[in-house]
Amino acid sequence: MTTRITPLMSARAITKQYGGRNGCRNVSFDLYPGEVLCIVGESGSGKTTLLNTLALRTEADSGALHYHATHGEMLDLLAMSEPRRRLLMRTEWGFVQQNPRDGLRSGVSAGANIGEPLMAVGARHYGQIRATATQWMERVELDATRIDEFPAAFSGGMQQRLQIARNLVTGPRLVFMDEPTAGLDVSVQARLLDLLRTLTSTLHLSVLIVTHDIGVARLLAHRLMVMQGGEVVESGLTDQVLDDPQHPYTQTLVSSVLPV
Amino acid sequence: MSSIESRASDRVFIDNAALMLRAVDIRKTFTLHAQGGVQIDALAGVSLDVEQGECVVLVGPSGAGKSTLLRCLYGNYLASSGSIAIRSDGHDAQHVAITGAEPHDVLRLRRNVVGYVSQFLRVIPRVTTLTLVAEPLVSRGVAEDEARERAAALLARLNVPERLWSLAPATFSGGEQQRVNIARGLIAGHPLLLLDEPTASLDAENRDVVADLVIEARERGAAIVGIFHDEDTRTKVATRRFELQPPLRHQAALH
Amino acid sequence: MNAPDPQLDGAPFDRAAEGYNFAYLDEQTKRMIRRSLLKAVAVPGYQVPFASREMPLPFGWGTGGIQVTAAIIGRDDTLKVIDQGSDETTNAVNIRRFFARTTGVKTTRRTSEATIVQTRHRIPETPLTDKQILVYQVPMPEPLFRLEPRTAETKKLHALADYGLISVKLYEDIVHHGGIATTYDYPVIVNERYLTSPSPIPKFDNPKMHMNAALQLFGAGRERRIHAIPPYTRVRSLDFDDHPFEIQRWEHACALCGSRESFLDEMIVDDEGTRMFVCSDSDYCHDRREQQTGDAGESGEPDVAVKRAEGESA
Repeated sequence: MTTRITPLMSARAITKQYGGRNGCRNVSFDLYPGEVLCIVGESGSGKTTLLNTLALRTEADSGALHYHATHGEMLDLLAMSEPRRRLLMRTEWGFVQQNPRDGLRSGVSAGANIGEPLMAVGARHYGQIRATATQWMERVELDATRIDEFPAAFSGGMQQRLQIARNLVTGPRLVFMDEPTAGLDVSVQARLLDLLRTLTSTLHLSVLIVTHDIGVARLLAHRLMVMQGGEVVESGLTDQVLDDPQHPYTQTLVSSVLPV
Repeated sequence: MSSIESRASDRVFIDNAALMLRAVDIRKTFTLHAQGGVQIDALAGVSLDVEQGECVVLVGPSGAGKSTLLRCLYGNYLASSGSIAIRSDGHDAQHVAITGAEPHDVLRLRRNVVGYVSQFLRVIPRVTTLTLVAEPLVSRGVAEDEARERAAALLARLNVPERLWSLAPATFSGGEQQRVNIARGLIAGHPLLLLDEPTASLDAENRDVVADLVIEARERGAAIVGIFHDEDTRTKVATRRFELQPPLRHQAALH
Repeated sequence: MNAPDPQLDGAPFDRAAEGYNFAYLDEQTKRMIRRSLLKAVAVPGYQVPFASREMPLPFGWGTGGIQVTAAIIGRDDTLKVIDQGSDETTNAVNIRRFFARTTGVKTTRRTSEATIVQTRHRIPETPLTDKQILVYQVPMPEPLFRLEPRTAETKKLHALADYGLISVKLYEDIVHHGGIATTYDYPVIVNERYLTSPSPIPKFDNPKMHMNAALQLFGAGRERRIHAIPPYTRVRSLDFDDHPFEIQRWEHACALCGSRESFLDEMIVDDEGTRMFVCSDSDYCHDRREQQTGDAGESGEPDVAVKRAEGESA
């Protein structure tokens, strides 16, 4: 017997295609509170399409998607009105973009970037907003004295940490990440992954990460979904999928990783 | 697990309050798709019950599937057939079937019930030894200070020098890494412990420390399944031995 | 500009000029504008699109305000036109003449006598009544424009009352200037709902918009938008709890009338850089001087004002 915990998000037969091809097809899974789920695949596997569809940035062609909101209500995400969707995205979700410049406002200071989500949900005290932004900069290991500098003054890895702080400041329950470490130097990646690992466990976040890097999945994820040609070919516990891959494609993927 | 079997094992966990693990007819076959679909049998029908206070030592020649069995019990490998049921943490008679379980149930079991010491330490860059060893306690809700104190005590007992505690284990010797691994696996006091060659890279003195730790765990009621490569340790810790034989090997090409 | 405006002294224009429709615009256009005005009044602070016409002056010279005035002005109205508080700038004079010629309607300098006041960038100091309409000229009606140039996006932000962005701008002001640096066109929330541009009036005037007895109409000709604040509507200037909204204050009083309550313009009166602070609202200043000295009917011509200042300070 297994205990029944309500999943945070339930996807059933999610399909999003472009002209009848590509995209993702028939994806189903349940994501539980505090779980990190990695969607792994190579270019063209459909993983980014899937992420964007789950995050409601792209409209699904078909399927069902439900989300267990903070107040206990089970929301039908595909039937939600745009205002409700935007409110949800502002209050309970985060989305970390691959390129931090896409997820930050370049014309305002680091502090304003972190403070904006707070202001968007009604924070009205300048001093407190600034104090919260300072705390978060420290948490993501940025020099808090640089709070008034513009994002362009920070390196790529720091910008990514700034983006993460901006996404976590409102205390979301579910964070989507699109290749958060791609394009960063290896040592910078390691530091960022460490940060993500710590934050996801201390904040009890649920995270959906898309990555092509199995090492990232091994380090961060409790569970894995392997995608190929738009479909999920294998899924399960991270260590199980990587140590005992069943599907031919998964076996290829795992054996292709260069040893250090 | 079929419903008949499930009900049968329901009874077993109720009737036998000391039963921690029931594995029935476990088979494991690896299919190597990249090599023409060649199949390798690792386990050919293993059944095993383990009770609290037992330390079952797996014996058998190399290739008999001892390590594979442990990994199947932990959910690290998928058993090809058979059932594995473990008494869960929640209620007395409840159990979780690892085979066919939802990932989050397995994760909960691993946090609260089943501890595993693998043969090799998987190193996470930048995480210090002390943090690594304290982590299983922290994830079970223990306050960080207390967790770090207990981790320090255990590391000291395993003769890991204090100067190493604030370093990441990546540069440690094999023996040091193994002791860190053991500390991490044993610290939370799981009721079911799976130990895969925990003494392989250790000298005699440290092997004794590990043996003592295993015995202590056994005596406080943990159920233990372990593989130990030296006879001395086996003699000290085992309450019973369980023999595995290599399955008949046959290669069936799919392509 | 120093030639006396014949309209103020008497009325050679007492009917619309030959060949022009009353108030220049055709009746269908006026009806279209009135429909937009009604919508705007029904949803205070919301920007209503309208089919802005080509007017005899280029965009950027008050065509929005002119179209709104043209749509509502009637034969019995009395019109005042001010530009930064003055009735005598080129802009004010030309717009006033335009309406005088095309309607024959009575015009005035006195705020208290006007039924319609068209203004560029100031609210009259004299409190308005519920018999008056204030028509503002608006260059950029979208308060979020600099932060979010895409209209498709700002439409959504307004629809969802998603106004975090403007707070970001105020936050940045405090970061870089120590305080909210916006001194004109200071964004407001109208009727606790819409974020609105009050037009480039100084923030000093913002409080006057709140619960004003008059009807306030805003016309942006180039951007083709109309918005409105009905009488007795709540208008709140944005701020932070620990950086509250404050209006400008001067150390000086008006050099002509002695007012310490009105918005003062700083005027440089000679080549040595001698400065003088004078009420921006010329009618208000004139009224106060009249009351003080008992003199009647002087128009606010600057050389007269300077002479008086010299006389007073001597």
